[in-house]
Amino acid sequence: MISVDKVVKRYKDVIALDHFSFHAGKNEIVGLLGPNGCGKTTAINCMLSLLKFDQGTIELFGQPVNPNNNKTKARIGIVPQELAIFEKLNVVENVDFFCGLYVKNPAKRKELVDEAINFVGLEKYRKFTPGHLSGGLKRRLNIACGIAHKPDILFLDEPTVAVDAQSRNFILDGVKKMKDQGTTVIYTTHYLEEAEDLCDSFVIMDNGRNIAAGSLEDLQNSISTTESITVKFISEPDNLKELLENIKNVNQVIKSNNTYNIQFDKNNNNLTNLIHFIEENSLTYTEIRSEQPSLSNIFLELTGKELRD
Amino acid sequence: MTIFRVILLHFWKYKWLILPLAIVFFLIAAMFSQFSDQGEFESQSLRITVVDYSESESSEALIDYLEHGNQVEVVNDKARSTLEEAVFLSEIHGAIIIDPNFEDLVQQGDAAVEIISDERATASTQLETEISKVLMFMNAQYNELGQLDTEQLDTALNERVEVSLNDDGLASSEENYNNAAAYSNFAAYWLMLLLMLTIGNLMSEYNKPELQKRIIAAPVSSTSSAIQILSSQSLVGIFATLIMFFGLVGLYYDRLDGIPLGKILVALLLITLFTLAMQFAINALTTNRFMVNGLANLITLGLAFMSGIFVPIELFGDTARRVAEFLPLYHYTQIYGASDITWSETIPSIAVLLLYTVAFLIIGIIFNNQRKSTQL
Repeated sequence: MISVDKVVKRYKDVIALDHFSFHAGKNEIVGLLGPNGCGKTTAINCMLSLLKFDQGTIELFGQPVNPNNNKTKARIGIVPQELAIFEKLNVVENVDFFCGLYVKNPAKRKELVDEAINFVGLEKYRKFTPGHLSGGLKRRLNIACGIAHKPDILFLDEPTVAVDAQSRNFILDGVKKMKDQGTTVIYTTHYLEEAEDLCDSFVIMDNGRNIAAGSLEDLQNSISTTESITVKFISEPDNLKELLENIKNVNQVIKSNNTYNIQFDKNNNNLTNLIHFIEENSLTYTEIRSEQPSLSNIFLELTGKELRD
Repeated sequence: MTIFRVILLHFWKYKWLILPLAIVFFLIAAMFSQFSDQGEFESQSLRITVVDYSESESSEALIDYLEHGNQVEVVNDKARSTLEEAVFLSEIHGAIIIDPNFEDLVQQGDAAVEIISDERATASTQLETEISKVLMFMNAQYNELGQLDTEQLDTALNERVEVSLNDDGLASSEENYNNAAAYSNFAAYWLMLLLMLTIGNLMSEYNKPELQKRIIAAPVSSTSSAIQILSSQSLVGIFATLIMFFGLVGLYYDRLDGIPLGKILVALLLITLFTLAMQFAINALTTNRFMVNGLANLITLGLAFMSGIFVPIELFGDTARRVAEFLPLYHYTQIYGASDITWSETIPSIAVLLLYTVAFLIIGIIFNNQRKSTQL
């Protein structure tokens, strides 16, 4: 669906995109992650053919992007981070206008507008102007305007910024539903837990470059931080620490009273191996907890900074 | 036609701004139309004090004539300051001091009397008219007969002539023209203000970068988008122009003689096009709503004052008049500058307005392209 290959974009002497590449398939939610100024918006603008780029290729649906290719543009939806809605128009009029840019048939458009309004849960607010909606409801309206024409590719730029928990859940559920309906979603966010929960794959950007890409598992395997398992034993032999250190892939064991934190080198059947060891040695325990490196850990290790830096 | 529709829809949303403005305009226009023809003058009985230093036959003839229909007090001597005070306190309408050499001065055609009156009052004009009439007849008799015949003078002064006006069309058509011109002047100010406020606010929202991002990303070509914007604005502009034009026709339907309707319609259409072009340039420069509203008021009021819309241009000084000749609104008024103006006489003003329109369009296109290249 989307193929971005070695794209370079310069603003005079500043390189905004430095041989940036990534691919997204059908029905995929791709999280585009990176600190402010890393080139996410520039990359999206290039994919939307809002910006010319200096080098590389971008293909959508197998076609090179082109500002005059209305056929391709008709299959794309965009939900910008800033509210892109008319203050004087009510909910229906706003959604109808943006849908009307894509769908000319009035009957079909009416159907799609109603569907989009219901999809984001604004059916009670159809005649409300944005000035009379809360921040969360405005965000939902912003999304409805971008999805009403049922795009095959949807660019969602930080859709959950400054929204209440209820609206956030509503938006995330909606994105999942869209994926189920066959839409490819390019999702940018600062909330890594949200991305971890929502996205099938990730592209981590820094300084205009793609520094890592793939599924969460791929990313976890690409860094040195790995799985750690914590076990709280009831019975423990004196040499338990040494015994645990001999298990395959174990890098380090940290003991605190009867609780052992075992850190592994690789993410390969570690929990299975540990349980097998416990059974073999007839040990008893009250609690066992495995922790995989989170997206936050991955991001920190790859970029050397927190996402909010 | 989505963009076309949404711009018209926005205009509709501004109905509560447009309607009161339109109602106020037509109320004012209707009031002026009703009361413009009421000016009348009627002579009145004057209280006059005459100081006769001449005491001649001629001065008595003058006093006799003034005593017809007026209250005249004749004194031999009175201080000038006392007379001025009496006029100032409105005790008398005026005082006349007859020179001792009255007869000689009348014969020579020189100033023979001094009139003290309040020049701001209509009584002053009436008094001056009466006296100059007597003096003219006296002078004529002296010149013709070599002496004054008081009987003949009295007959000549009191002779009444029946005058019947066969046709007053010329005067009334001039008055119709003046009224229609005043209406059209104010209509231009109203049109400019209305279009600049509504289109300015509408387009400042439409041109917001985030909305533009969505619109440009949609499968609508920039040419189609520009055509839809331009045609919707022009439609509204033409609609407003026609309301102004037919408002004029409606208010003066029974007094259309002398009104160059065709030229007024052309002038209204041209000023609408000029305003649309100017607003296009302003919107290309800024999307700040406060700036747009401020500029709308500043430009319309400034142009209206400097072009003789509110104050007759004849009252301007030479420099201000020279400046006005460079302004578009001045040329707008010149298109219907006289009731009998010909089309060939209007061509220079039409050309100037069109040039202004094209110039602002070009400025708008340049700034628009610059804005688009920086916002994305």
